[in-house]
Amino acid sequence: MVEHLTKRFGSGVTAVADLSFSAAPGKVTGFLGPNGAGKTTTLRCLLGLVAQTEGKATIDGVTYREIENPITVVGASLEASGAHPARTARNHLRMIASAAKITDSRVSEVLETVGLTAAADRKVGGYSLGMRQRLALAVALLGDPKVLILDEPANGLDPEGISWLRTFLRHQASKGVSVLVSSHVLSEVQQTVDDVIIIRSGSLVYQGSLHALTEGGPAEVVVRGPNIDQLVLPGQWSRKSVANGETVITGATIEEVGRAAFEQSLELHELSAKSADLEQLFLGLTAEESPTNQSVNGKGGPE
Amino acid sequence: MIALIRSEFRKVFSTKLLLILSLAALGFMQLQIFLLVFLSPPGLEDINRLMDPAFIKIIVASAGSASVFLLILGIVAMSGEYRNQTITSTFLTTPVRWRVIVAKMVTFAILALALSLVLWLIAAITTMLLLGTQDSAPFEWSAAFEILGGTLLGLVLYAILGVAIGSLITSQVAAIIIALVFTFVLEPLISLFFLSVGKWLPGNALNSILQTGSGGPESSASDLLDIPVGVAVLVGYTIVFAVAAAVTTNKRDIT
Ligand SMILES: Nc1ncnc2c1ncn2[C@@H]1O[C@H](COP(=O)(O)OP(=O)(O)O)[C@@H](O)[C@H]1O
Ligand SMILES: [Mg+2]
Repeated sequence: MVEHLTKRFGSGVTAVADLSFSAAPGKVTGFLGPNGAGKTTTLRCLLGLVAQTEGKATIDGVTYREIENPITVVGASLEASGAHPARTARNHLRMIASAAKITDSRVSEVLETVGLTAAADRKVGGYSLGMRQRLALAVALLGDPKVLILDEPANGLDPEGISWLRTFLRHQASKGVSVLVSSHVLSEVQQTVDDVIIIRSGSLVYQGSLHALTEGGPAEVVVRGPNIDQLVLPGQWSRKSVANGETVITGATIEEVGRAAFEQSLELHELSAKSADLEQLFLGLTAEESPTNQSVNGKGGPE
Repeated sequence: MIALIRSEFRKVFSTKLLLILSLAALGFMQLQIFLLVFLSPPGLEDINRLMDPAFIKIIVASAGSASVFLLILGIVAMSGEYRNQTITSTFLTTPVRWRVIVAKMVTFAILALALSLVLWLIAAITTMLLLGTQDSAPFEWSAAFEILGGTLLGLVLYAILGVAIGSLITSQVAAIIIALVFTFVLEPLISLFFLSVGKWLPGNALNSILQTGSGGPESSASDLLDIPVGVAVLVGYTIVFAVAAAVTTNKRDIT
């Protein structure tokens, strides 16, 4: 829970500006925004690492620094939290474990959970980015916490790693763990999160379910066929783009487009709801300028 | 606090830092003992200083030359947490930050105590063996024991001071350079020209505890502070730096 949080760094940078949101317990909440939006700063305020200029950041009603032995309640993995390169993953975890009175057998357990057992006694200096992310997750899990706060855990992961992370997050959620996971790429967390919080330049843009977000946005339907450019569109529909026998239509549902094509006896090779839709919406929401001028990958704006 | 100290011990013994700096301190100390036994400063070639029992005490006090290594040990251990970004997980685990600093200070005080005991013993034995090859006053263990307390106390305080400096100046390179420039340039210069001021600096407070001179060829322990005053001054510096470290660390943004 974050209330009216503001953080100005000494250099005059306002990283977070009067931000308020709450993440529901027992759910996976995506914390989204482009690079520099203030995600890391917000999470660090929440974890008592950065002192906010104004406002409050609490977890279950208390600040992180008020929690007794906090890593047994809140597990966190943050960007720029490292391990000594000459230390092994096991030793890195053991030194944290002993400070929190956690047993060494728990260290072996979390190494197993994140799939680092085989590499546990190798120096962290030789780890790949993906292995470091797994180690950071192991640190977060060490205290068997009820809340997980993960900053860009998908950064540096290969597609296999991202898929593993999805399964991992789902598993945590199924155990009743509340997860707040940040990302600057919606698609990384899209399939995993229940709710999203989207920020831009330190301020809230959207909070709610992913589903509600898509409903609010323009629907897009992709149709493909040899003569698809002959498809006559009713008034409120519009053709967003036409290329190589493929048309993207906005303002209509997939059923309506299918019926129209059938009525006009046009041969179809594809009829689908556009999946990039959400990403577009996200980019539109988080763009610095007016969202309608957004142009992504040459596909053109919504109009 | 016991858990935190155990964690700090695990940190130290999972890297080679302690080993490297201990060996460096040992090598430096042995070099100093050899030089003091076999070389005479220019202008003093005619005098056999080894005939003077007070000088033999100064040779054994070479164990005190480990002070700078213990200072660097503390600095590297603390600022290294910022450098390697382990400070994030350290403060996530223990958000009451002064407790981390105190645990680290206790840990390095214990390590410094053990190390300085070993160094003192090696220094005494080395001095004894080398003097056996020379025309000199007899080696007396009682003289070595007279400086034991000072060696232990001085080195322990320097290790604690190192941790404090490492938390005040979190840039590791800057902290080490500042500590070295102060120890090897500023302090000797000030002592050479203004000993009345210089004797109040930590290095000379340490020298007074070790009962050696301020380093110049004609210097003697009598120019420095009395031992109890020296102890008070060094303890004072340590407390001031430790409190400053705790206060600044508590306010610092960990990003
Ligand atoms: N320690 C710092 N000092 C000054 N500015 C900072 C610091 N940390 C972050 N910032 C600035 O705050 C803004 C938000 O950064 P950050 O929270 O890292 O964003 P995100 O995690 O969403 O990419 C950026 O403009 C960044 O440059
Ligand atoms: Mg970030």
